[in-house]
Amino acid sequence: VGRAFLGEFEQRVLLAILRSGDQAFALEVRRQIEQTCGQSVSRGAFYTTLDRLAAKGLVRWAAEPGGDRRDLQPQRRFRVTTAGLRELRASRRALVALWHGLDAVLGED
Amino acid sequence: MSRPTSPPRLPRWVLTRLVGADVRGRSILGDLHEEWTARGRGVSAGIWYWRIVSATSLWYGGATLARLTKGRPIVDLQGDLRAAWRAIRRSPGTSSLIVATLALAIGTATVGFTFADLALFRGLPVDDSSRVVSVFASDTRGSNRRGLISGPDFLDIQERSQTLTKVSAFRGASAALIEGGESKTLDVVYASADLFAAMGQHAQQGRLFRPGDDRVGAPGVAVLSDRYWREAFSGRPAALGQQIQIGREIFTIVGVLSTEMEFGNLADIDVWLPLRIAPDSARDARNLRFIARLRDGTAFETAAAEIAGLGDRLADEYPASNRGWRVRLVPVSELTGGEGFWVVVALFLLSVGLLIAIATANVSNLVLVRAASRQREIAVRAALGARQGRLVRQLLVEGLMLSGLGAMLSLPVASLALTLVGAASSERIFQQLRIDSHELSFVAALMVLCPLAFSLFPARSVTKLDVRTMLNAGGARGATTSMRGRGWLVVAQVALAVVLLTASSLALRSVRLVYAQPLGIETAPLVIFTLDFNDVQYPTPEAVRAAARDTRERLKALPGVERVTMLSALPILGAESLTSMTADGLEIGARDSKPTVVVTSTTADGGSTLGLTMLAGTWWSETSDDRDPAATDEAVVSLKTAVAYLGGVDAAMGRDLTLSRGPDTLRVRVVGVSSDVLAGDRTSGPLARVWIPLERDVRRHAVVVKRRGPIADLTTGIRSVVAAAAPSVPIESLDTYDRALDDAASSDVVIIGVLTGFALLAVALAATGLFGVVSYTASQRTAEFGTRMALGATARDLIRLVAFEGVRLLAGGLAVGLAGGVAVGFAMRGLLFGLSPADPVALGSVIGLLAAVTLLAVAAPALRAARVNPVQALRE
Repeated sequence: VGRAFLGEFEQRVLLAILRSGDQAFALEVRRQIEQTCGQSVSRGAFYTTLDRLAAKGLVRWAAEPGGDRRDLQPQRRFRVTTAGLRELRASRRALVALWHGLDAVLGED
Repeated sequence: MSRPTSPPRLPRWVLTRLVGADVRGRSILGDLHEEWTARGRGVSAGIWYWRIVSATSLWYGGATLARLTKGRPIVDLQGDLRAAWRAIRRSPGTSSLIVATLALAIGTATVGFTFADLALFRGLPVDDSSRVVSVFASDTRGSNRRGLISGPDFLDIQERSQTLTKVSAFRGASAALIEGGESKTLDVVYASADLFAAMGQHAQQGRLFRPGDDRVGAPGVAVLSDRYWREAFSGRPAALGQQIQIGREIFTIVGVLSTEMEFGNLADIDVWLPLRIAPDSARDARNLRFIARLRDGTAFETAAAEIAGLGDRLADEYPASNRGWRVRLVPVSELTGGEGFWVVVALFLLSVGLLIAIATANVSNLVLVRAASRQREIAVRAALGARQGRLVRQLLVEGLMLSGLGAMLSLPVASLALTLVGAASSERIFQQLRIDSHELSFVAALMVLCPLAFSLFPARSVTKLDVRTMLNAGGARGATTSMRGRGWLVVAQVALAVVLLTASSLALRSVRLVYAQPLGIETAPLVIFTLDFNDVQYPTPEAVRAAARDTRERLKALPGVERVTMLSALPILGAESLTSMTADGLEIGARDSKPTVVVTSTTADGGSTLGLTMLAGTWWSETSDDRDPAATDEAVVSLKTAVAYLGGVDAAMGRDLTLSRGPDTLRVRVVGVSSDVLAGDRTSGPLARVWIPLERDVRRHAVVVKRRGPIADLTTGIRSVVAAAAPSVPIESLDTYDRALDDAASSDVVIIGVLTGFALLAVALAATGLFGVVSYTASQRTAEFGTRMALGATARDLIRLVAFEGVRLLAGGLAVGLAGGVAVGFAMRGLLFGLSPADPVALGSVIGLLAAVTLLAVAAPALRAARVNPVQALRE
């Protein structure tokens, strides 16, 4: 049985968590993806992906108390685990290898 | 308008169910709350919230389904879902029409369901309600069918009954709360100690009444309603043990009731106090409601027989007060609403069912149209080896998806309608209608059941096709077979809509007749309010009298005021209890009860203020208002009293009457006969009434101010006069008589409005169904029309041809529907006032409306047929 690779959206979420640094709360991560990729992200897809990544042990979260703006509900700060970093690197290696030598076809001006 | 502090309740609730209440779930809720806040919390933010929650729910629902069905290759649900979504997207017009129809129908049906839900499932705050009973007293004259019982009768039943336990009684009242020298009117209930035990209610704080709390002379204890506890004590537990002064008595707060108690008008109750009944109080003052439990192992019939027997024995033992009175045991559910309450609930449930049936038929029709156009696709699939079950499942999944979308959109429809209902009537019961788990389950059930009906019917006709003919002929033959099915569907739809329309048209006409009756009072120039002269600031009847007289004189001096009258209770609006009366020379049959009348005490100008006409004699003179009250001996009787009990107007004059007033009796002499005033329920005709001079011990005064000339606003004037003349007395419900009457009628308006809404929606749905069938057939017959025109048919002939089909469908539907409607009319006969279930005006208007709607539905296709260009039609 081969190892399952990260899905594309999973990669986006993981990368956005890394880019958000210590501000990696769900809203900020989602904003990162939308801003950087220029596409809107469905909340349902986003939250279920976060659940899946957490279940695979690729991200971890810790809850922090939220203020009045959030009706005093907690907010989760996400962190990519070492396993998550390893998966990202593996995905990147695989993709870069596949992309290699295709500049003639896919190169952008 | 101030910004809301939290997002719409319903979607938030749905989301909580979906994501769970753990840290993860709450953090998602928090995220959405933050985004909602960032969007400014306004109306558009609310709409955004609805949209996001709907979309997210769909996602979670889909994910859950996929998870549940994973690894079961027999059901390729994901494939079905994908295919269904593609099919829906391929015909966006029909799909959105289906979704809109379902959203409207399910939303409206949900509104009907909230009413039934409140009555059936929430209902009276009584545990194990099939074992809880109440009683009604009734007299042989039939003027009381749901009468209350008196204190001594209650005590006797409590002592003697072997079949009932926790026998208890209660009565509502207004009482003055005295706080820092100010008086405030509270809604209170006086209840015997076992009442809460009989209902199965528990305290959420402290305790409820204990046996002995209701003994005469026991220390005063009070139980607060949850609402009042929160309002007056900010929900502090420290309220327990505190003392409050009500009237002249001090009560210690011992407990707080649970919110479950706040059902219907019980929600208005502030404080519950012990009911203390003196055994020697009057037996004919029937003012108590009764609640008890059947003893374990006792059947209702056994208890009913015992109580009826007890009632008869009391009638023998106390003939003066009880002769002719019977006591009847009833299930406690009879206490909910008035006599027609359960008929209304049944009517609502029927409407809900019919509406859903019509909408399902309509959607069936639309699905058939689409299925007909997809017969080729389905034939190809069948030819390629798709099994029939698979094809049916495909159609079902499609139906489920459509109804899921419809159900989701139905929630905002329902919640908007409930907002309108709440705004139309201030009645408690309408404010208590809401959408929660019951309603969501109802919607979910419809969401699953509707597509079973509307997908399976078309699915059968589609999958029965012979593949080879289908592929050869391109589907023309299949379409005609399905047309017969569609015609039947439309007939059924029209019939159901007619049933609904007939029922609501009868109800509407009946209510209009009820409110069209003359009241007997000239209400237009009247302003009313209530003053309760409490017995702390005004310890003696003389003090009350002086203050009332002073207030009245000052009010009279206000500019724009013509007259000021003070009464013990307002006719029609006030709580008017019946009093037994005897008259000299009045023969009462050996087994008959004494006549009962409403006794209203008033200042001498009561008749002229209310606009009553004198039929004989005069009102007593103003000076007798100030006489020694013990000597009061003059009265005016209403026409009904004179005719029913005193042998007519002339014979009534000068007669001596004996009225029972509490423990005493009052003797009065008739000095005049006045015109009648309608009873408060408006359906039982005028009340037998006796007007007497304002009594000595009246503390609550209903004040009626008659305005002079143009309707001036007297509110400010009245408030400042009362503030000066009786500073500690609060003004209750200051309003015009007319507005107060409108308020009292608002619940009828809401019920009729909702029923009419159901019926109109049903008619609209049936009309679109009719339109769909007629225009579809007409379009299928374009070639035929062309041929006919070429052979010499005129445009008029073609219009007639198309219209005939519409009329045929209408006639079929009308015939079946009117019969059903009249049957429903007979079932709701108890509600109909002054008209028969086959009322020609009501039925005529149904036929008229249906004919007009058919005309509209048929006009467009008929005109289109008339404009067919024969050359073009034949070439195609």
